[in-house]
Amino acid sequence: MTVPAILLDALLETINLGIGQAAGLLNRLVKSHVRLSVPSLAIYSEKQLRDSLTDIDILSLSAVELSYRGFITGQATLLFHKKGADALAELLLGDDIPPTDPDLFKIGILQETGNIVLNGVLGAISNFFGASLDYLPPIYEEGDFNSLILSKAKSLGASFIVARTHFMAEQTTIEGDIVLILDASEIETLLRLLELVMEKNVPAGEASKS
Amino acid sequence: MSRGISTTFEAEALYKLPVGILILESDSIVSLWNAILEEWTGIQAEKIVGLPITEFFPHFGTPYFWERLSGIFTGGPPVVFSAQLHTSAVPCKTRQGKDRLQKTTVIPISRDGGGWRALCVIQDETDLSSLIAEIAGIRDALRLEIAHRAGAETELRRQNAFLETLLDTIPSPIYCTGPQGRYLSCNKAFESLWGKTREEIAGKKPDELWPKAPPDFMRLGDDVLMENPGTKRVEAGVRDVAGKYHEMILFKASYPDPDGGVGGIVGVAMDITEHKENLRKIEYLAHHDALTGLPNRKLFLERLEHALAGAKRTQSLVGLIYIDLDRFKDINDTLGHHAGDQALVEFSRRVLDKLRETDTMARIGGDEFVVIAENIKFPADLSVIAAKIDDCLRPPMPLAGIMTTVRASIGVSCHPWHGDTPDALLRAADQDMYQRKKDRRACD
Repeated sequence: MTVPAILLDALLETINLGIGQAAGLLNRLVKSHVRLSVPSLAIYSEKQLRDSLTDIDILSLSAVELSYRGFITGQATLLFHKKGADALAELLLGDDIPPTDPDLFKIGILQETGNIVLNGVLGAISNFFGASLDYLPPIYEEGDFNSLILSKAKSLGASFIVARTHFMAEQTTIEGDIVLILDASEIETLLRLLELVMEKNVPAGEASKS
Repeated sequence: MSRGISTTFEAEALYKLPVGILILESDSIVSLWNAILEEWTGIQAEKIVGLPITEFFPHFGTPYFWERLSGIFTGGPPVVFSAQLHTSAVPCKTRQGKDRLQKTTVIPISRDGGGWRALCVIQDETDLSSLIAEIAGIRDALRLEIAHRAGAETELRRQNAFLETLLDTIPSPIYCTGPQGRYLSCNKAFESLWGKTREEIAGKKPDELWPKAPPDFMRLGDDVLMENPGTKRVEAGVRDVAGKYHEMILFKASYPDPDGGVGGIVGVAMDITEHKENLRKIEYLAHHDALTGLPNRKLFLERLEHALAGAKRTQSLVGLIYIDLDRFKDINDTLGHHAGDQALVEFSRRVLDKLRETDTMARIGGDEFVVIAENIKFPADLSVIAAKIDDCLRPPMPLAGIMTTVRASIGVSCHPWHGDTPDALLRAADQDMYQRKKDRRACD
């Protein structure tokens, strides 16, 4: 799908806004200053999405999913690969991770962190268009790329808005990345709304009603 | 119990749900506090509903908590507070006095008059956490056990491979059988000997491996060893898969099983074909003359003694013919030692040609020969043999390219007339030969 750069930039800015809010919340949780950033955004097909993740082990992933419906409907997924999850757990709990069951603690951390990030992003998108969305409670899952992402894609040839989110804790060496995927089954609707706001100067709140 | 919940039915349903339910207004006032929370905290709904939650649980007012909750009051996405990061949203103890672990999910619900409330669903994960910790403990113990076993199996495989390499390096055939006499394994030398791989022999009995006729020495003594543990040595000749003959010694030993019985038999075979051949050569050289191939003095005396012993038992005669080549020194001196050797070999051949199979001819000195004549009927028979010997020397023999006539002096003696010992018979025959040589020289 070819998307004008200006729309992608607008979407990236909106997502970065939400990520920034999430970073603010994470900073309240940990002593180090955490920076979250989304350096790039892309709209991928299934194959492109898979190809873009060759640097991570896609057979062992954790995911936090948030389903939403309203002026756009879909599912936002935050993927954690093992290396990123370990770094995040170290960042948030440091030496407090009990050796008896580190996995259980990681699950708790990933659930809450994922919830913070997804809420930030969807909150920012919702705010941008001045329209609320209905949400289902977030779900935590583990599995491989196929079971977590592809099997849930609504139709073959589905597109995904992918934002590789990098986190880094200042004054530490902890850094990593997580993958934010918006299952844009209604990606065209979203882009059309963005276009209305960007190019036709329709107020955001009005665009979502059109 | 509740404030502002639209129906009694809804309030009662929420009150009785088996999870902690707390409804907060945007001003932090508690609207609903259900039975589970009463049970956990000991705070009755009548006491907390209508008051700010922060009066009872001040951490709700911390920036992190309130900032996250604030999105709920604008209809934002659900919020999760994990038990692992916060322990509990509503701190309280279990009956066992442990901190209750709670996962709290906060969901926006709309107010009738506009705006949003926060529905806090508080799930007790204490037991789940304990269970998971217990399972994790079992899992870790299993991982350790599996790692330990994997390590032990790897080491065992390494040791087995090393042992197999060692056994394959040994050039002697080695095998072992189990309690039913079936082959368990063998080494490369065993495979080469019989032309069967260790996979082919595994689990088979000898008569299954060699349907026509199992080699005797593969089975010999096995039954005894299985009944009476110990060792056994079997020596036999066998033909390998290519038909080549081998003389072998097979050492067998029973080995114990873990219960103290006989586990089976381990066998190590040694190919002694060359060794046996060498022994035969040594034996031959020790009893024969290297030049003529005739028995030497040692073997001659043994055979004479044996013949005399038989003759004494059967009351039969044993004759001895003593032959001395005439002027043999002259042949050596004039024609050379090689010609002398030729004369001795040709002489032996001609005499042997005239003797019976039962007679024994031996070389007992440089140019001295003897013949043991067994089973003669009369002493005069010796003269007949002596005459034949004399006759066979009449044709000249080619020595160093020169046709040369070789003559011999012959004496005879006969058991029992000339004695019943080898010495006596030899002396008598020697004297007779000497007398005849003397007589001939006188005639010449």
